[in-house]
Amino acid sequence: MTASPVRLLIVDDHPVVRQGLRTFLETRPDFEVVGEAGDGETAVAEAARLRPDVILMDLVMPGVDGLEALGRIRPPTPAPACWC
Amino acid sequence: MATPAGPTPAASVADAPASAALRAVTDVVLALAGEPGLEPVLERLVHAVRELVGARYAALGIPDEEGTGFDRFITSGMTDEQIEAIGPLPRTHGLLAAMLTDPEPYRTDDIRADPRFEWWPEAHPRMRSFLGVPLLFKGDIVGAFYLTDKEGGFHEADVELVRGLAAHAAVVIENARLFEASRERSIAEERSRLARDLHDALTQCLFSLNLTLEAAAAAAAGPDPAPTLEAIHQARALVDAALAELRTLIFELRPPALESDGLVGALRKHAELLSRAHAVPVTVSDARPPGAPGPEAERELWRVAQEALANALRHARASEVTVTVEADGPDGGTLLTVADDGVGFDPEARSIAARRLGLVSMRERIEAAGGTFEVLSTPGRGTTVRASVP
Repeated sequence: MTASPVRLLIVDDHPVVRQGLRTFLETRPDFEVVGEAGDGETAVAEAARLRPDVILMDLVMPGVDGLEALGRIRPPTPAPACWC
Repeated sequence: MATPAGPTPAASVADAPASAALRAVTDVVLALAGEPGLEPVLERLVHAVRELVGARYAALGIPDEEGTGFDRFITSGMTDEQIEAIGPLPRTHGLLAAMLTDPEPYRTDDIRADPRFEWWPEAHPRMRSFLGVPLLFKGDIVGAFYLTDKEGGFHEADVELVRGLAAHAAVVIENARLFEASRERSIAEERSRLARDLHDALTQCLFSLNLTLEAAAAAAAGPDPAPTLEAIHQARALVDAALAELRTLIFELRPPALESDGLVGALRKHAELLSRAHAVPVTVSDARPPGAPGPEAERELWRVAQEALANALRHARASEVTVTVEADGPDGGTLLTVADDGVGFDPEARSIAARRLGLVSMRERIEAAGGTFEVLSTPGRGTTVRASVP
């Protein structure tokens, strides 16, 4: 069985954390990091554009924080899973 | 029993005319008003009360929170050796306790004849006459004066005199307590800022480092060495970043050399270090004519500058930060401006972020120093923090 990899969007205001998560996740064939965002505002736009399966969201960020971004992300059908 | 040996009681002010007694109480209270710490205040009070009434021994007891013992029990008229020999602080029982439950003063010519008297520790001096006066603050008993062994016993005039001092003492003690509580709060605030900075700066790096090393281990199992080397390369960069952050935090922990370098000198050193750690230029310009603000004002401005710079470099993703110190603040005082070209935020939003940025404590600091504080920021257009102190 060759299931297609899980498409991920990483949201964190710290570039080192995004980089670490990306490096780590990219060693796994079952995940594909399709995008990154450094704040809630970008996360909302990228979620709409990339339609990821899973969003890894940092809740505490300056500006639009994770909780607010989650509220603004329009869930497509089917909705992506969010792991905060 | 023969007349006990030891220090002769001072002449009692209570035996003097009422105006002299009042002046004596006023003198003590005024002398205490300038004392910032609780401990010296208590010591001066207990010596003063002993001298005022001419008792041989005096003590000031402050109960602990549970009310089962004394938080502080400070004596006058005993030598250090005597205090040492008596042993631990008394617990609140017997006559000592009575003064902490009954707001009325109590006086007797023979303490041992009182049914509430229990016992003395082995090395405790034997005492006869006794006067106990509770310290009342807004109706609550916050402590008590205990006086013993006045030649000829205590009189009604002594009671009134000590009661007068006790009323003032209660206020002075409460003030000193508030002062200590506020100092403790500042220390707690500094610690929580450090904890937050450690979290922001270091745990992120170490978390990332951990993931990167796991990636390296996973990649090492594959045939191609390139991904492994790439991950190790990244890991080294993260260690460098963590070291730089750690150095900055340690530098921030050291008290600034404000006295020797002055505000601008200390800011220049700090800016240089931050520039190197974060690879963002931080410039400091001094547009003041000679004549610095006082040391208190400098310290407050320094704290604000430190916090605002940390925000600009850690959260704002600024590419340039400027710090300016000028003489023409809105109230004619010194004006500090820290401006960055970073992501900015909405200063009106009462969100977690605003509290995290320490804006509330910056404002409180400056306003407590009689100055003005403002934050100008728009999302996407940088942040400017302006603090001025007279």
